[in-house]
Amino acid sequence: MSRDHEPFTHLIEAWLDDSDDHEDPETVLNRVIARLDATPQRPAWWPARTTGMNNTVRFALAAVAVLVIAVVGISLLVGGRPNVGGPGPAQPTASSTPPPTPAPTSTQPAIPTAGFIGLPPPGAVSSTPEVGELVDDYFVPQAGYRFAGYARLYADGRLIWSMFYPVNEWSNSTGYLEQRLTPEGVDLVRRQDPLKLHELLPSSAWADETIRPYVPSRYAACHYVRDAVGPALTLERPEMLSLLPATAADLLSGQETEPPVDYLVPMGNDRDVVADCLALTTEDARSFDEALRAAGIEPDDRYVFQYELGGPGETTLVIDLEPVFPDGTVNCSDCG
Amino acid sequence: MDRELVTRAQQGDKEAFTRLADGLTAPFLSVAHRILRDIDLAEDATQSALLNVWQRLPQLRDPDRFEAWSYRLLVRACYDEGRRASRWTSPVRMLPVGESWTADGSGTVIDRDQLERAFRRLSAEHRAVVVLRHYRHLSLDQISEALEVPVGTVASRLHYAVRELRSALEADARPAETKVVS
Repeated sequence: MSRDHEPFTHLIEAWLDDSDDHEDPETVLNRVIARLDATPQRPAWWPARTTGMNNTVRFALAAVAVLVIAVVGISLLVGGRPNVGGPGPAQPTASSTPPPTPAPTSTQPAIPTAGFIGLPPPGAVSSTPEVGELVDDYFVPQAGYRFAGYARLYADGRLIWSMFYPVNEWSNSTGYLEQRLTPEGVDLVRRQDPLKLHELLPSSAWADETIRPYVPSRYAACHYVRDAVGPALTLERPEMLSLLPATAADLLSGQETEPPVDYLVPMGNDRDVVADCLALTTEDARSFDEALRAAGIEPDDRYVFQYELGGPGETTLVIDLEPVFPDGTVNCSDCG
Repeated sequence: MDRELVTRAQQGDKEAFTRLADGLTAPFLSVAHRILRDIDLAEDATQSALLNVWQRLPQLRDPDRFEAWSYRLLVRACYDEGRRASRWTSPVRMLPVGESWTADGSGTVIDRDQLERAFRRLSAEHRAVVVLRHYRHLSLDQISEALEVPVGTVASRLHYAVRELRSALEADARPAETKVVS
């Protein structure tokens, strides 16, 4: 524990200490206890993590695990089960069947080509259900790098993820992809690299292992201003709208803020900017894109649909068109 | 935190969990209240976090990390409640505000309403860092572990948040200008 001694932080501490009215922990505790029986614990994936096992048991479990993995691996190689690659962008529907694609090698999984950056192809079916409970979201490390992509795991079994590649260059993004796990599979996912889950999970973990594009139901237009150093500030909405072509401004005008919390554009140190995001239906997002293109403003689509316009002074107004995830949040897709 | 209680609760011992929860509820509620600025939301977040702790305890790999891990679930519950409230409900009930307030004997008079408004303009992520640092008095390393973000990010968020609060208080005394976020 430590304290800062700068006078202003003393003010903050005093203010925080002073606002404890109306707290009633006993009522909350009673509510929790009342719901315990109806709230089953989620089983641990790896029994050796639990306590009370001696080394002999641990080694025996490890040996069994190695044997199981070997048997599963061999059966998968024979069966050619993985569906990496998936359908092209023109068929991103939840009901399409997986195409026959070769299995990736275990050392170098194939980069999925199913995804898209930005808007879905016309006619694409949105991922269902529209709303989902987020179980976990995590950065995906890979090959010694701390960060190679994002993954979001939902209670309904959806695993939505994207990866940068080549991992040491971050030149491209797969776009957001989706696979479907069983409830058992949701419990088994432990922040692993999605490209390796095929090797790590049993077939019973998958409801549909096919890698498909994640097709959102909504988009968010997130704006901030970049100067010569990086993200610098967020304009008030009327000023931002005044910089857009009239048709595009009309589409954004009056839209609700999405997500309500923030869209953090990190640049390190004190350069982080909280962008302002406005929610759009997919149809409105498409119209917004068309309005900007009609004005000669083409998006950069390597990581996210990102439009750049003239900002105040020497700055650039940046607008990212991001998918809204089932839990209602938006991720900064080109932030690493 | 009692390691044996954690271990027993991991194995499904409800009595052990109840004792753990008894020790967690008050500090959880205080932290959630300060992040969310609304007691009803804070109670919901605390309840949700504690039930999450119970559900996921078997998956906790190192019982010695229970405290940081449990705070991670609490902060996530706060994020969720904050989002839900912003999307589906009417404006949240404010904490008591309004009276002028002298802090730490320095002679500086701060209007609590100003600080409240400035704090509410921060993102939930920034509020969480401020509360864990300046209310729970956790170190940057402890906050980093609790939030699962690098220490540098914690320092950055803290620096940004404090600067925003200070700027907002100063700006309240001046005519409105374009809001500079960073």
